[in-house]
Amino acid sequence: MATLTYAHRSILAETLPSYPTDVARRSRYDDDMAAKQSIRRAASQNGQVAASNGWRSHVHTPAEPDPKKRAQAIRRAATRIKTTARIDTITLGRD
Amino acid sequence: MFAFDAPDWQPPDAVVLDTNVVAEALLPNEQEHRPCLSVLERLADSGTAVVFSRLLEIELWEAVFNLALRERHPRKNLRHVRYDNRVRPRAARLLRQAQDAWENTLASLAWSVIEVQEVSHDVPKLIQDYGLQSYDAVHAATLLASGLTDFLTRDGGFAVLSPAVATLHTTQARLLKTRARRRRAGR
Repeated sequence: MATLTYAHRSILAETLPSYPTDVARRSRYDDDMAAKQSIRRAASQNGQVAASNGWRSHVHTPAEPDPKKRAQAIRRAATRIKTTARIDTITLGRD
Repeated sequence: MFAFDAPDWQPPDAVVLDTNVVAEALLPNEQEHRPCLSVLERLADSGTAVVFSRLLEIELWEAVFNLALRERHPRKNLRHVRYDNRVRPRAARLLRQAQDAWENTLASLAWSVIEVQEVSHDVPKLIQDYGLQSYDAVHAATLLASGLTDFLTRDGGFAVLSPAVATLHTTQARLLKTRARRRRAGR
């Protein structure tokens, strides 16, 4: 299985005292671009991503190749839960 | 900061997903069900990779269990009826439906899950620095661990995170208040 590695220099950048804020912001943007590209490419080949901070994860490819059918399947999935009740989903229904 | 139900919204290549967007999409009676369902369809259609914390699934089951409580006790404080055994059979059915709905949703998405133990070491600092609640701090730590900045959430509480760390995507109805919270947080 292919593993795509990307640079990730600035986790919790703001919390690292030795890391200048402007550098943190720039590298955070670079990290974001690198992460997006790697994760997207890994998704296209059901592969793994590995970040330089040690994070490694499998990115699952959608089972259905047709994008329109994928959207339809999600619409169908959203009809599975049959209830008449409502809750606040931000608090997960906790009062 | 963006509204994911705005006509000109474009899905990023990869995003981190918060529980409340998924719960709202899968629960048909919720107020923002339609925009949240639409955004998941957009993510599936565009091939956007979604990254989420394992906590999302645990919170989803919690929300569904609370739905079963709410059905039986429409007006009571759920904390007071949590251990009502009569709810259990209904909760079991709802939980099976929710697990089925979530599995079917995942089958249509490119996705990656981050386990809680992979990010738990970042949580105390996030609670300390931003005042985030424990479960919100887990989602924020997930965002940071992935290296991504795009975060789909309906919870304005994440406005405390700096824009350099989190590009928030929420609903149009929540956008103004979330922006105001970010300004108040000095971000």
